[in-house]
Amino acid sequence: MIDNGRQAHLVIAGVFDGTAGVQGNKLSFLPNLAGSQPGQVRGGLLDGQAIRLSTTKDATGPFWTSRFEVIS
Amino acid sequence: MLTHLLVLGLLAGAPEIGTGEVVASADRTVILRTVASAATAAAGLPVGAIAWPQQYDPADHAPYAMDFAPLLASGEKIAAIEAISMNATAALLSVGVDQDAPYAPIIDTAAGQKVQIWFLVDPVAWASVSFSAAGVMLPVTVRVLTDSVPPKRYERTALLTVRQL
Repeated sequence: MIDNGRQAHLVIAGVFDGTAGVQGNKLSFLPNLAGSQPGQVRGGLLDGQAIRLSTTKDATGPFWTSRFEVIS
Repeated sequence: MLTHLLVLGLLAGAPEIGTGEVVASADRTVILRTVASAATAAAGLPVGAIAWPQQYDPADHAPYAMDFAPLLASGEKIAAIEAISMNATAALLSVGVDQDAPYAPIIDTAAGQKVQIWFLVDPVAWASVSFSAAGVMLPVTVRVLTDSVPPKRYERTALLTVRQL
């Protein structure tokens, strides 16, 4: 009944390596690498699984939110 | 009839209903509108979603409520809380809905039109820089089922601002 989401290890090359928040098919992270533009990345690893990303910046804060799907 | 009830989630598989006295103060209660405003709080958040007037310090542990009364017919009550969800940013910041008694979500026993929630932030995150200054606005989505025949389902989102107070 209650879905508080979860935390998972996210790696996006040149953008982020650390803990992300996950709820449903969305994830949230705060970029901690400066190699690439967060809005231009299209893929990453979530808990070791390859995922496809569609990332946008939250208008109200520093966070980036992304829809994702696992690439099987 | 049995199949009908199963499909509606009113029999086996239906979520447990917690009821009790809603003690959230007026400033910690959002009264939902029948027609949501076109004004948006922020991009990425539901258009017209209402924010709780009282903001939330990450170390707080106090009840908040959503009042569904404007959506319900005369005498109609909330029969069940189907789902409550926080978003991915809330998960990242360790902000969640408390599930443990006596803080678990409840339906108001008086009129049966309010849902009360206690939020909880992991103490490890209390000092997070994300909660400084203006803090962060997080959507909280609650879906309820009413006791009308046939039952109605409403899902509404309210906004909680978490920041150092």
